Amino acid sequence: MTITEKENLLRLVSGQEPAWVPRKGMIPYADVDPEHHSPPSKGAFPALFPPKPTDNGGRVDMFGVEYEATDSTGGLALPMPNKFILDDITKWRDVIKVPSLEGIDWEAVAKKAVEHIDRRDTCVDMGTHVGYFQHLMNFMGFTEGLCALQEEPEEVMALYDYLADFYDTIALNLIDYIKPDFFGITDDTATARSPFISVEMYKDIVKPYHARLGKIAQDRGIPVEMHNCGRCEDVIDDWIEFGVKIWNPAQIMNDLVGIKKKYGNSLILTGCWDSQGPPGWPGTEEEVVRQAVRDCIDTYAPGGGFCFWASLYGSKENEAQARKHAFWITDEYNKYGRTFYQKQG
Amino acid sequence: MSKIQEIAAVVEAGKSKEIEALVKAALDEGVAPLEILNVGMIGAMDVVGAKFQKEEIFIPEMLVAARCMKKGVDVLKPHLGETGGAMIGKAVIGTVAGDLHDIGKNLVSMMIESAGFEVNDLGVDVPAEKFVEAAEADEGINLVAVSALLTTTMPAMKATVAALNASKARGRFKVLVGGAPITEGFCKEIGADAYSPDAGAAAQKAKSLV
Repeated sequence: MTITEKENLLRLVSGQEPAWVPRKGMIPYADVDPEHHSPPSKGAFPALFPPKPTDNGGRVDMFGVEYEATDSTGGLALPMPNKFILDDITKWRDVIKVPSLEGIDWEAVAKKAVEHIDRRDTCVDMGTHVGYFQHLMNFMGFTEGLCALQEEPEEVMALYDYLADFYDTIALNLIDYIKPDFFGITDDTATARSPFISVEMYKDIVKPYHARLGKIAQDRGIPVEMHNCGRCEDVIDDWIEFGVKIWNPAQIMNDLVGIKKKYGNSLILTGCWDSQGPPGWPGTEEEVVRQAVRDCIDTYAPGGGFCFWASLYGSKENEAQARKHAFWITDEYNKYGRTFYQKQG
Repeated sequence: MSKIQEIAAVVEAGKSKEIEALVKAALDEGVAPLEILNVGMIGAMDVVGAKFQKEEIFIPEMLVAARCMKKGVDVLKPHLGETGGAMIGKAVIGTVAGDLHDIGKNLVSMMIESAGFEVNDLGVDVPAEKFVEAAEADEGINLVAVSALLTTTMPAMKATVAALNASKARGRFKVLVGGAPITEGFCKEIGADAYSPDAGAAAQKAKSLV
């Protein structure tokens, strides 16, 4: 019996072994797929207050934070250095203002958020914002933001309460219209080598707001997908408490083999790709890249609980080479990952 | 607890509000300014760096400790004489061209400053020629620290180190590299003098290089 990309992914999330290894689209080369498979899931982000373009080619968000997309990040935007909007956390009430939500036609917003998704073949992954930890860093920059967490935790939490009231209202008004298959929480709380903050600080200051958001999905039986880059494995148990079933990108600086063993199919590891090692380096030979795809699948796919996702931070200067690199990854995934469970019998 | 021990404890805990009064009190008691700096402050930051490396503390704790020391040094400076006390060198630091990430660079900057370096922070997205210009502009520069956070900006780090290696002043400064995708092997390949995996180790490495 033939199943769709969506059914295969849902099979994985329910804890079963899928028919083939599912995958997410490759950043930023999601269109590079020689077999033109539809993606098993797509994001639904309500465009309530979209960022506005700036004169210098960047954009500015609803709070006034300016972002700049760089070639080196493959077009992903970062807050403009030294142009942060808040330098003293105790002054946040004067600076940070959320827009009014009065009079919004929530049904129409929800409809627009999913209009690009064919729900017959593709899961809907609803998201709301970039994350509470990340918001603070975007407002203040990392140096001031991290000092604020250490020196003025009550003020940070007061700000988070204010933001959470806003974002939770949005989520509650949209979730029953959007009816997502997964509910995404995003927050990048870790560096490549260690978490930015201690587990205690996460539990005390950030987790309560992740949990508030997670509860909205949990109350409806919707699995939560957590996006957290870097070495963040120390807080997985906390995530599970607020409904996390999928983690993306599970990156290799974490003990992914140990995590797979501990959580089994109850936590889907999305990624497991060595984006900062030789397979992700510009100029790496084709066979090294293809072998890395096979190794990744061999290591993490057995028994299920794994979704392949390779990011490639290509530079525009070498776009042709980066696209070739992306082709090798996707082609090898198609050849190896799509037949993996059949070969295993 | 002696005043020096109190200062060390306050720096370690990053209690910036307490450091000024404490340093003044130590000076009033006749404690030597250099002892306050070397034992009370730089000694405390060595402990902070070691704890960070062992993940006993994390970036916020390290940042507030470095800030606390900076405040204490401001009180101490007029008493340290013309040399600035125990300054062990001058450093230039920056994130390479095309890379806007600043947190790793900022941390290393604070930690090497806390270790006794005067730091000229060039910021982010710094072209190779700017590194060279800054390194050559001041004869006291004995360390150039170069940061890159992305695999896509590793080539810019390579170009920066090549430009520094071609500098006429290369004999008087060492080149320290670091950042998420950087490894000891890459450091050797591009001809830098040393690699540091994190900010705590960077301070120790910087001291050992000069």
